[in-house]
Amino acid sequence: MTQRAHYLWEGDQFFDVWWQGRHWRIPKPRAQARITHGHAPNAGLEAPLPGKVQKIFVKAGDKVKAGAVLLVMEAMKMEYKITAPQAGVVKKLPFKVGDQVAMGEMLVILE
Amino acid sequence: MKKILIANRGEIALRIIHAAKELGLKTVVVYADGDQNSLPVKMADEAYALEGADAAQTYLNIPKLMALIKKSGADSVHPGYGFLSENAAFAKAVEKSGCKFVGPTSQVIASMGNKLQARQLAEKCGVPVVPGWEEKPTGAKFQQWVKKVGLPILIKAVSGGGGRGMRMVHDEKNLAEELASASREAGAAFGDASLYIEKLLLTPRHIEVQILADEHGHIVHLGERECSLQRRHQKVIEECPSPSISNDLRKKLFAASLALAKAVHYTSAGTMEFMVDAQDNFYFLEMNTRLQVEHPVTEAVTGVDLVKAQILIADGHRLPFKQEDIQFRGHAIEARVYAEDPEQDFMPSIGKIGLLQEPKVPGLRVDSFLEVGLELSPYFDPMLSKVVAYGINRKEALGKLDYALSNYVILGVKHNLNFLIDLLQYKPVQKGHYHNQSVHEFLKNRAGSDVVVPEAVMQLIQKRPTKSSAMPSNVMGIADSWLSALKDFRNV
Repeated sequence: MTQRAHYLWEGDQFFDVWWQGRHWRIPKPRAQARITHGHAPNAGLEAPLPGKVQKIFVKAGDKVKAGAVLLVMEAMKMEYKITAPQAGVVKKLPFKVGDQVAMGEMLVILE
Repeated sequence: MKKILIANRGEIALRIIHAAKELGLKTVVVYADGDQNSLPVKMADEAYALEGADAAQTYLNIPKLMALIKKSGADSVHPGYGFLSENAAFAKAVEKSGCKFVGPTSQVIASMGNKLQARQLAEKCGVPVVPGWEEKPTGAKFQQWVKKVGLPILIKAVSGGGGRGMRMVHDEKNLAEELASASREAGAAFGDASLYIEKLLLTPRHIEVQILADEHGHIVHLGERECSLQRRHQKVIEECPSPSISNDLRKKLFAASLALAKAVHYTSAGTMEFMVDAQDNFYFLEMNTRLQVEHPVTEAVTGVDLVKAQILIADGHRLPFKQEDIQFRGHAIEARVYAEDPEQDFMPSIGKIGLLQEPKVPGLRVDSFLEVGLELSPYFDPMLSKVVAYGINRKEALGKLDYALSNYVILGVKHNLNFLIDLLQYKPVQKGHYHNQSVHEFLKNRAGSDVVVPEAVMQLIQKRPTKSSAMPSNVMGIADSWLSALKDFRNV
């Protein structure tokens, strides 16, 4: 019996595989390292997409609880809330309202 | 009409190009910076650059579009859906230029596009509407109204559509922030930040009726579409006919839709949207004065080509059929394929299509603009394609859709195909008893289902050639050396 798979090795960050009717995206080793160390304080605070900073709810020095909304960005005509992955203190806000941000840029530095 | 300009992009631009060419028209497309090599640009007879990357600089830019309409010598304009399709100012500018706008008149778009006016018109026609607040949502009287109807309530954009500027409020302490956020989003998306408020029905069904009307006073309906499978007010799966409504209710919805269309002297294709509660009470929601994304399910069941009908109506033709000529046969279901990541709260994803295999099955239609090498733009809607399965009954259509989605291969970008396949298997969907919260209920139990990667897939990756540059990227990989691994495969 032969089973077919479709695959793509060339992506920047992922191996893409289709097998038995389902798709799988597996992070490449370098990208994976970032994900496994994902409990670092700033994980999840990168811009998920290229877009624009629309609203900032915190300032440097603020103490925030886990889940607090820190910032709202607009991308693909939708609003995305960036929330604190855990409690901490806002160390730095590299952007101001209206700034364009590239995908993956750190939006809030938490400590 | 001899030459039509399509003020849109993606799969719908392609759909309109084919319909217009079939009718013998010359086709013109306009394109944003990232779209210069897209299929619509390749397929159209002429293409003009809008010069700009985002929507505001391009497909939403009325002055640029008007200049290109003139430059191209087009005598008609099809707006597609989204962008300027329900923008009365654009329709009016096209009318003034002496071109034909493929859609209703600018006056009708303005009156139905204002969701408040549409509500009031429905009330005048005796069609029920959801209890709502139609003035500015501030002040003591508004607070009293909120207390009276009770939470949750739904904030909507007066000039809205497609879920943008829409917010559910369950807790009074979030009301002010949600009003502000909805207003910002509405302003950015529609250029009108004004809002109105409705009581939120908890688990309604979303059912809509397709209308076609010519300029000679003939109006027909083309049946209903069941669109309750939504996530954040974005439709995911639509079907025709609805599996959940009685013939009695169906007749009432058709009668209400025809009455509303007559009251505004509607022309072209249009859709009346209704909410239906668990007791089969129905409420008019809004009218969409344009072609709908999900129009193919109606086309499959009625055999009427809605885009060609729109063009012929705009050219002054009479509808070639009466109501009694329209036959409803079989069942059609559509699934929307989006470039978004279900594991990350459906975040839109970008990337480059590296490998593509679209399913080809009798009775199946795939409306798509995908091709290998296409780079997805972060500036536009993440919908990639629509897969529409037709069957002699609902069971056959469901089975065909499942087969088609399972054999649709799109590599290079994260998308929702796995999610769609799983959603189709969800019991309420299989049974046809679902409502507009069903997708959210399904998602609660689905978390993490794609996290465990099958052993066989991991083995395939580990055995990949090390020199990746020597690998042809767009070939179909035949599983060979790793086949033995499959013997140990446990289905996870």
